[in-house]
Amino acid sequence: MSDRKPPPEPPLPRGPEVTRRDLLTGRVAGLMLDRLQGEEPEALPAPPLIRLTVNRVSRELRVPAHRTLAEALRVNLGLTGTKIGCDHGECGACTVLLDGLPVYSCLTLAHDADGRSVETIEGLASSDALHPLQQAFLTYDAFQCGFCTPGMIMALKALLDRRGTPDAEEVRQAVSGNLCRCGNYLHVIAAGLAAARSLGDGG
Amino acid sequence: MPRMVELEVDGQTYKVEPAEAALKEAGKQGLEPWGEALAVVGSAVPRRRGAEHVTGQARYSSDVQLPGMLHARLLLSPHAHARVRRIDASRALALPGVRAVLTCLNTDAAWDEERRLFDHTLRYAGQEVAAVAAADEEAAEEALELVDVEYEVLPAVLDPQAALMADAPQVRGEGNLYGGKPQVYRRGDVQRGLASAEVVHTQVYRTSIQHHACLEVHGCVASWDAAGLTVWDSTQGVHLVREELASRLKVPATKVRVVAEQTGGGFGSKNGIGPYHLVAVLLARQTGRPVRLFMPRAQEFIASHHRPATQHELTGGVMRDGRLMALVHRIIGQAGAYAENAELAAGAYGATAELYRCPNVLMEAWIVHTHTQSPGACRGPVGTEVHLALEQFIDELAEQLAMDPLAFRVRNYVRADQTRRRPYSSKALDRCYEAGARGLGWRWPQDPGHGRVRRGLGMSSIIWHGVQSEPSQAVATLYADGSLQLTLGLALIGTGSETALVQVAAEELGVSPDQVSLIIGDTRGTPYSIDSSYGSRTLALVGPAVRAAAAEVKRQLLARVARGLGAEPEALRLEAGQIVVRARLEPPMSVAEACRQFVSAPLMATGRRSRNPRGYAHESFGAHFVEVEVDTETGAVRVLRAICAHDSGRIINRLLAESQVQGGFVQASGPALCEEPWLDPATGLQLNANLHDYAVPTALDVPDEVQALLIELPDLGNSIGAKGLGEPPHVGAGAAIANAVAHALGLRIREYPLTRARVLEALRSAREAPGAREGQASHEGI
Repeated sequence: MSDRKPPPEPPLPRGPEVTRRDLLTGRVAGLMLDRLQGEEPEALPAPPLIRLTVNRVSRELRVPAHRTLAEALRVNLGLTGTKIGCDHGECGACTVLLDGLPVYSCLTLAHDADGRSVETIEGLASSDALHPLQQAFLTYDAFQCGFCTPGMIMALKALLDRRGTPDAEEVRQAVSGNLCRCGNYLHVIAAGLAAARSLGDGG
Repeated sequence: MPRMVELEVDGQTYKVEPAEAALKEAGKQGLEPWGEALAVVGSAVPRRRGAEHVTGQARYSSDVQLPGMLHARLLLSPHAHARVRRIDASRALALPGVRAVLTCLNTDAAWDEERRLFDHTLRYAGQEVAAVAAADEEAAEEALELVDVEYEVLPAVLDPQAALMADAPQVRGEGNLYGGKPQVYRRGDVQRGLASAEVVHTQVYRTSIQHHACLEVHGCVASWDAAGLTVWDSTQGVHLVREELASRLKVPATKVRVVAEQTGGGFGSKNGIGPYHLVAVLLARQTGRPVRLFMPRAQEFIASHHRPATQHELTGGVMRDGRLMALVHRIIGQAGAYAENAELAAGAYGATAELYRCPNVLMEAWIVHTHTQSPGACRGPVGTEVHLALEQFIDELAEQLAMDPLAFRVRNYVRADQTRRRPYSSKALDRCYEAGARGLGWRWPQDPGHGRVRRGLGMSSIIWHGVQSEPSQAVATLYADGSLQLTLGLALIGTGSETALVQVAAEELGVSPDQVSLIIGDTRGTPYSIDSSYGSRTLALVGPAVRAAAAEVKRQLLARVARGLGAEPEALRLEAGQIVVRARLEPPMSVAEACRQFVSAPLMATGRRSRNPRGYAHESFGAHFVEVEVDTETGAVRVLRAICAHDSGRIINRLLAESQVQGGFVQASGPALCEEPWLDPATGLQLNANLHDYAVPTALDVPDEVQALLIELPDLGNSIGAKGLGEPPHVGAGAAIANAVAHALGLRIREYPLTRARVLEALRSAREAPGAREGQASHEGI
């Protein structure tokens, strides 16, 4: 927390119809889009800049102050593996790791992630192999429609990172904030336990 | 005319067509029934395209982002019944970034014969009032607040019982009873049946609304270009969406392309189009930009359809020896304001008429209009509600006779369909009873214990309609390197059908499933495999078409090999993945090897599903057995174990079938135990339109064990022997849980879900009731 920088002050808008509130509410991003397409050509200020490490790669992006981390990952970085199911911190589909801890990225402002490290589902596999959790999800058929899967896997990754050999109850608790409407929880729990065993055996 | 033979079932003679006769029409050369020893079918092949899911690469329609894309939002009616007196969108239009606002003033498009897309009269909370397209989500949302609407609030009726009263507000001006009279199914004479019965019993059950709560909300991205319209949709069926859009927009189907690479849950709610499709399409046309319209979660609850709330009055007459003499089932279902999907509010068919031998049956479905959103298909529509009531009533009838509820069901077992007077193409419900009872350790009478925590066992039978004869096509292309491509016009919705279909093709052609790839989820270039994946019919409908396509490319391959070797085609056999030439010394050759040697241009075939053999009824069956624990102090119900026995014909993929069964059971435990919308009686608005308070089951709510016992009796109805498995596990689970709770508590709660509050209230009333039965939760300490 201590070394986090406050978001930079947004520059004053120049276009007459852009208010300070517009900047804060993100209108500017849309107007920027229009501008890029050659419409409404007046010069507009860019949203403030943040720097994050996403999946071990350092990224700079301009994000309106109000934008959630989930939206920033999906819209600014195109990392659509992180899903938005409710946008209110109820379903867990947007779970990512922020400095190693699981967070609902729909409840986390992108600017709160400034200077920090984010892990998403896209960063889990190495170039030549799936992470044991990913492999176990396939082996145990731990998903059906798959929409909850990235969040489930990231929540379990956080558990396995801090506890090598969890029991079934700990696995169950770890995904208790992740809804699977297809109801495949028992296979998720089995996959979590299998991945833990696999990691314990040295991968 | 096909040759018909006589078949005797339970002393009755039926005329049926031999199943082999229908198989002879399947594929160009006809197909043989599969034998017992299959190489690929039946094995646990991992879910096709699973790697995309676990790496975050799976692309859902809500992930689609296009250059210049606008974001749309809907303004929904905050009143159950109102007239739009005045609407002014000028402030919204003036907001920077806003590109278009559609209201009843500038948009005349009809939604259906009854209403316009944006109507002056609003008949449920959640009906579309206006739509905004803006450069980003935030601007769209803010613009909604700037659409000034003056509503004239009109009297509304939300409850079906109240709607049937003479002085109730009229929802549609023609009486609130859909069709003016109940729908009726009648067999025999229930008055005489009841009069002849030794015991007559009546009970009333109520079920709640269930929301699908798909994790991916409803929505689409619409884009027009010179070629026409492209819609990326979260849907269960690309072809049905295309058909409906083309017909609604009056453009040729060939000008509409619908894409759904992955769909994040449907459960019946994503068949065909909703008003939001039309809104996105119109906004895209008006602005000349792609438009993305996905519902915020709170709107998802009220703007999409749901399983309706129902009331069931059941009267049964039985003999002391357990024979069922008469059943009367009156259902009141809530049709919502419009006639959309009224047939899904309730129906006079199904389990009550079919599940047990009973000479006299009367079913009445009263479908009532209220100022609410219309119901829609929700995993096991109508059937889930009917089973929840009927299967508890059957338990109660057994109780009246002091009979084991399982023995009572077996006593009234029936082997043929009494409603259509046909034998079943297969029925193994008896084996489900046997396997399920053994699996759970069914015992009767039960001892729930006397402590704070009681235990109970419960069971339920399941019947669910199977696939009728309808057309389906599949295209198979075999390449010179031995790889096979299947092109299928269906969407990936998570059931795993596509993986099973790959196995069907691999089995028929004698190749490994790894050699088979899929083109799927797009109307462009795919055949019409299915309109939409509903009714548990994708596998049993499309599977035979896939098998026929694979069989035809196999025939073409063998013909080329025969020509190449100078052999007679009849001398070639494909066995265990190897091509063998009878009476010749050539070593067996794999399909891949044969392709490399003898195929230059790819071999291609369209397979068509042949009709079902004539004279049969087609149904899936099952029986669920559960053990629950009820805490009499907190009212909490916990399912400890569930043994789910299913007769769904041949199982193509055990692992994925197990997922279907587990998932269906878990999903159905929601409306049985915890899921319930709270409706504001004043406005009709849902107060808990979020995934936290509308409590869908979490990982903490699932039993330690949900065991799928798959009774494999290959079905005679189609060339792959499979029946449906998507809905059956959902259909029976609730009743089995409720029966177990009743047995644990020694009292029955007839209103669902069985929330803690309802359980505690029932225990309190039982305690306070004069002459409360001994042992009925009346012991000291609670």
